[in-house]
Amino acid sequence: MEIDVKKIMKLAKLKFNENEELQIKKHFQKMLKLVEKLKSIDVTGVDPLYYPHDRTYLRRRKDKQGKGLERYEVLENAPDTFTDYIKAPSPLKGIKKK
Amino acid sequence: MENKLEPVIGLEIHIQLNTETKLFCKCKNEYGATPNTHICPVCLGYPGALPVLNEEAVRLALKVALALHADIHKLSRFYRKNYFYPDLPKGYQITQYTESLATGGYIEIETSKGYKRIRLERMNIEEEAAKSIHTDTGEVLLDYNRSGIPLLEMVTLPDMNSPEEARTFLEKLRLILRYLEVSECDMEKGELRVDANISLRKPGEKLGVKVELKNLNSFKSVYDGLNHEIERQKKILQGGGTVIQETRLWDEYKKETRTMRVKEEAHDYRYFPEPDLPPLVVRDTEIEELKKTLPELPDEKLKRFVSQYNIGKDQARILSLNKNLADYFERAAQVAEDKRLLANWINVEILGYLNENNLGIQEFRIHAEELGEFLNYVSRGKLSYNMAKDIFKKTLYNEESLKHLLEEALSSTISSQELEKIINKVLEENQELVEKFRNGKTGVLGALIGKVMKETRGRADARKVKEILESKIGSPKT
Ligand SMILES: [Zn+2]
Repeated sequence: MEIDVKKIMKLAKLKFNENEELQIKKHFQKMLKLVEKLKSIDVTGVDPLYYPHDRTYLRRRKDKQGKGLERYEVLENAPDTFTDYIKAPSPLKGIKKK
Repeated sequence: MENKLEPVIGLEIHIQLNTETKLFCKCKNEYGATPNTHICPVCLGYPGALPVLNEEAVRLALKVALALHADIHKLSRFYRKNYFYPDLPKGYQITQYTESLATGGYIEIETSKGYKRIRLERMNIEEEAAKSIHTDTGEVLLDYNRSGIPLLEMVTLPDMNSPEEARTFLEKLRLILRYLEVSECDMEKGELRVDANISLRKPGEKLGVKVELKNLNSFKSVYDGLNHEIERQKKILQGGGTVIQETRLWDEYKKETRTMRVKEEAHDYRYFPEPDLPPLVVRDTEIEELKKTLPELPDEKLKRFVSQYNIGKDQARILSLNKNLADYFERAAQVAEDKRLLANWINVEILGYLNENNLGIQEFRIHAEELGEFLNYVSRGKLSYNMAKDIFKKTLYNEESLKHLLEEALSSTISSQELEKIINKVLEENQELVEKFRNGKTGVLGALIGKVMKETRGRADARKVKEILESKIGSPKT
């Protein structure tokens, strides 16, 4: 199976140079090999394992308010803020606006 | 030469569920709070924070599924939908995917061609993204108060064939959701959001290329946006061109739709089951319990009002369009003897006043029982309709008490014996007018009524005076 590293970079919003790209491709290929090996195991009659625990159903909590974080704590941790808001680079950059 | 093109419309709807707290954390679900005050490690996507499902969100979603006749699945699953965007701090949205909470169901709407069922494809529970404000300087400001609010996602089948049908469907959905107390569905607050899929085809042929229409921020936007998009596609197709599959934005100000993104690469959300959340299991007993709590829905109420109170269908419809108004009517109907009069009074006098003053029935000062009693004076003939109307208006606009005004009116209303006496006296004193009337000059009746009204100092009902006069002097000779 061919790995499209460029697509993975795009989806993960990450940038690599050519050298790194090659390295990552190698890593992925290794992982895929392992998966191919796992796929060769006969699992007929075995239910898929979705979760790394054996809870069979989801517990639900009461709809009651609890204590969260203070705004100042959160804003202090943010790389950039503006008044009460957390500020981030626009995700629309690079998309042409008409 | 059948060249008619038929629009085919499907809707994707997001409804904010009216819970006290968010879907997976204990932060308050509140609109309009100071930004970033209802936040915690879960809704900020801090590493290691774990989601815990809110039971009320499930309950509300199931109520909707039941009310819309959908099949509720005993087991549904949460998935991670992966994409990077600042309003999604975890890098994925927890949503449902192939194993939905419910599938199927429908809403019946009334169209110009009769009743029509708009079928639903699925309903999912998912979490809301944060609110982002884009600045002129190319940055985005984030308010995570909205992050993690519970949403119900609802997808219809492409069963609507006009913007009108789409709007009617949404109005009906909103009405039902309000009845269920699941959401107020205020589109301005984003409590209800709508995207539309639209394509054109010749009747009977297979579906054309569809365009996804976004930024429909009001019922009017849905209607106008769809109309413009239909015209745009029609022009392309009739000119021999082809419509491309894309997402377009409706611009309310320029009255046009424009390209947002072309689907050159299909979204790759890399869905996988959310490992932090075991499957959501809904038991039969839970569904049975919920069924008992479902309120009477608008269609049922309309039918019952017509049969139980014998009022017109149109009046029953207006009443059923607002649950609080319908409740008000029913409380008043316990007292009022003439239900038709009551229904008419609410639709004309009360709704008129409420609309004029931008008020809801909850803010209306006159209690339902009081109205019922008041109208009984009209139905028993003790108060004329017009007098009642005057008193009612005075009460509303001058803030005088209805009871007081009513007493005043009743005490000043002339008794029938006294009225009879006065009429006899006027006839005695105006023999020549009576003669003229009998000889065919019917116009003099007005003069006679005027004299009686003057004698009673306006305490009598002119219509009643006319009736008595006519019965006393008989019909004119021919
Ligand atoms: Zn939270």
